[in-house]
Amino acid sequence: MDPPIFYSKTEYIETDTGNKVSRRATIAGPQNIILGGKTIISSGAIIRGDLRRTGAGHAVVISLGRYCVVGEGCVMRPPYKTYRGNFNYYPMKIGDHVHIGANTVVEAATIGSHVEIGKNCVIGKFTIIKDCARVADGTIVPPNTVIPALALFAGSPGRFVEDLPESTQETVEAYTKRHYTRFQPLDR
Amino acid sequence: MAPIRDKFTIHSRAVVCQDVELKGDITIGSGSIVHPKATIFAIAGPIVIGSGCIIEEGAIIVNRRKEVMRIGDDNLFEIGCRIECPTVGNSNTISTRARVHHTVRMGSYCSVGAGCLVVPTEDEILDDYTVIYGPAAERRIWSGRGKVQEADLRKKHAEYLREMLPKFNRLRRGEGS
Amino acid sequence: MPPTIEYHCPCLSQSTIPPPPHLASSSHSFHPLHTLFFCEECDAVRCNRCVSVEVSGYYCPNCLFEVPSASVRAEKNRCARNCFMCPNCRNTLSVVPSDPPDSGDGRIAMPIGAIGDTQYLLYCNHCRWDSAEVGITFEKPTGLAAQLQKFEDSAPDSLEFERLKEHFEPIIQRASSLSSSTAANAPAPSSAAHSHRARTNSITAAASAALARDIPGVGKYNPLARSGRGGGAGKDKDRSTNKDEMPEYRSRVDSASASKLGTGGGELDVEYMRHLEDVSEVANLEQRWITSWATSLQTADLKPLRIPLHSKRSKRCPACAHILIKPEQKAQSVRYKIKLVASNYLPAITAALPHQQDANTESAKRTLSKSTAAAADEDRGAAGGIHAGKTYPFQLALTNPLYDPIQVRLTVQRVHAPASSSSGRASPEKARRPPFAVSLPSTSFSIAAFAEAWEYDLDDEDDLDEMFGLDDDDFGVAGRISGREPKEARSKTKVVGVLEKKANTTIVGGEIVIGKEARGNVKFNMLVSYTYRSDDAAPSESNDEGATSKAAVARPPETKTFAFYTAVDLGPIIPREEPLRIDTDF
Repeated sequence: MDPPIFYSKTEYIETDTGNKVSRRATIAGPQNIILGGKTIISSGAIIRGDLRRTGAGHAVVISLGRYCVVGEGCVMRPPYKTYRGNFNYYPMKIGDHVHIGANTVVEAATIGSHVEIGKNCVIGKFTIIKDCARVADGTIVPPNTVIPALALFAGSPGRFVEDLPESTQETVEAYTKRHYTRFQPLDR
Repeated sequence: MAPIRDKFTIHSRAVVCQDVELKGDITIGSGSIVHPKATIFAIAGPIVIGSGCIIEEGAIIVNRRKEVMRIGDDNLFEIGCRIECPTVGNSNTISTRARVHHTVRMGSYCSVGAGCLVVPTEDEILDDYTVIYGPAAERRIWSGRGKVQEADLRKKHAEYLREMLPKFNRLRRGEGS
Repeated sequence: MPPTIEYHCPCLSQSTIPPPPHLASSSHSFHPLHTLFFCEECDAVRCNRCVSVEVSGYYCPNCLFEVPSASVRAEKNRCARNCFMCPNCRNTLSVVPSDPPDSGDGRIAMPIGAIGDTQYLLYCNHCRWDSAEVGITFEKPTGLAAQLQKFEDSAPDSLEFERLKEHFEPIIQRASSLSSSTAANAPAPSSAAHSHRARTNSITAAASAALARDIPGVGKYNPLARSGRGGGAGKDKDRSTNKDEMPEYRSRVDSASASKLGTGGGELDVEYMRHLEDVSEVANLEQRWITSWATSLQTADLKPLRIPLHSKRSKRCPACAHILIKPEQKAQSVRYKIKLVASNYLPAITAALPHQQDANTESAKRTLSKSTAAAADEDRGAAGGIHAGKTYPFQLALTNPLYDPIQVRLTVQRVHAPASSSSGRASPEKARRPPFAVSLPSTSFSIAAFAEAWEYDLDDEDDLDEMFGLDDDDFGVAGRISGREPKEARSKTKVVGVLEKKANTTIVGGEIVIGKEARGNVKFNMLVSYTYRSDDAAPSESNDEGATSKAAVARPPETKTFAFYTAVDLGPIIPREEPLRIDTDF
């Protein structure tokens, strides 16, 4: 019964696995980025696959699972630090059914599955977000924060607000699947 | 007022990606890095950026005044921040999506937190080591402990970027250099 | 805002009929479906307000360490490892080594930590507070809480608390042995709302008994005030058995001189405030009240705070005490050993106003083609709004979570007739008679069973489209889910009734007629009753006695009926006189 969310057919490229990537998104180092399938990269998003870990071999910089959405104007960038005196960027891993709202900047280390991140958030370097967590709109999550499973975080600095319902996983899964089916091209 | 002619002076050791927006009279010093999708607008007066600065994607640097906007060395402008300060000292950190108005002159070793909005109505100078943080842009003075490690991190970060960015991004060269 | 539907949990009143929806207080009785539970034993909906909650495990929300419940109390409910909160801004602190001597070129020659005498501090990467500001440094980067233990234990407040505990220890022990014997033969909880009180443990009971005692030197309290509080029945008994005298408590330090010893308060603070030069030297209320009773006013005295533990919780039915929620042991697992949530039993209902959706879709299309969204938003409100004096169709989509088909009947609850028409007292209720009329299909309709296949259809291969006989029109997958075109064509001829059946979802149409003088929200209570085949082989069938008495009256034994109330809110009515004012609110 939900009405479709229309996009311009000419703007998006659809891959074999059903990923839909806007031509207006900036994808740097695409060979280092993995999209799990049925994931949407909206217009104006910037994904930094070029900031890879130094060293030989093929390095995955950013991986996103299935049914994810990277909102309009989002920046996804791997985190960096010096470890034992050596500087490096470290990969970012994101699970399935993760929605990231518009204009949010993500420099997390790992984000679990069934996670909802609101719009205009800043997710600091090396943040770890566990499964089924939610980050409210406009939250500033400082570097190295851990967001436990089924927790709602909000504020600046982002802090625990409340526990989410036991059925969060099913709710988010149904929502992300529905969103993907609603996301439809409009011929013009 | 006639608009300033575009004149980009980019030091040979600086790394400026092709996909950036530059307008007006801009000088970028040795070893500084400008990521793709950054914007530097010298609308009214020129902008001079020192050495070892990192300007990340989506950052916007604007000079609305006639005087030269001087940005010192080893500053970090993180993703999507916006700076209009007439002067910026050395080793400052402007965090992700922070916005600083042109009424602010910044000292050295300052840090503006992620998402902070700094818009004083009257001209003001931020003392060295000022930290601005939180939803209401609260202020405190940093003890300076950890600054050696921070400087080390920034130096190595810039080194890494100077080596890695050209592998994935096309670069821009200044006409004046 | 799109229309919402919330489900009734009858725990707040004796009656199963919900309060009228226009009362603000009714919102406490209705909840979104995904927050509700279902007790198979009682055949009833339960909500977070009425279930009884037990802690099934503790963990630190930062290091995610699972703390054995035996050590929780000794560690004062906080993380006893390396997790601290910034006393200035509440961010999590990081452990960092202190700077090596500055070599001048901004470079560190040797890796930090290689030199033996490195010190460590707690550092906040949000506000840049560090623990050296308050004189705390560490010799090694691990076991920080243990290293800080000496500070914590010597604080005047914890010393005072220890002394209090010692003082009450004999009383608590005596009382707990008594109350545990009384608790054993206490009657079973009578009603849902009171059960959690009966379940409080013996230590709490003893403590409350101790608190009820007269305090020497303090005037006798008013006994009326106490009976008003309404303690449990066992409480008075406890009190009488505990009447024996108790030695008078003497605090460690005299409260009058305490401020001089750094506990805050009194002349010293006044003096401090008088000579204050910078406001930031005073810790603000938020920074102070998280720590215990009396704290220093000064920011310079703020100490890093150990992070409070979180818990995983089991939930029980308040009436029969059967477990509704039992999480897995692992702290970060989002799975449950037992999870009886209402969405697995009751049909999920969503509401929509077709004219509103059309307006939204139209403006979305326009936005795409114009590429500027400027004017689009404005007319969206007017076109999609509900205007007084008009008639609108609405749709309810019901989705069946059961593996068997169900028969559903919808009834709109009438607002109590006596309330509006009764007696002489001029009731404002009369004016509040629903300003709109709702029509719904009066006959029952069926919803097909839930099947895993529907899931696969969405989940995996698009090839399955053909399998289900769905043609791939130019809308691709969308045609499958919404099926807008055929539905709209049909709704022109038929508004009230079953509009569409697809998989385990049935869409029914209704109609609202808005009165000319109407205002407020179009909000009404709807009774949903559904009949399902009760399968004897199912494990849930231990509840036969409850169900037969309640639901399966006058029905063949193999079917059962369950009924529940919902509150349907279709949105605000735009009054006739001042449509502009409401429009700007939108």
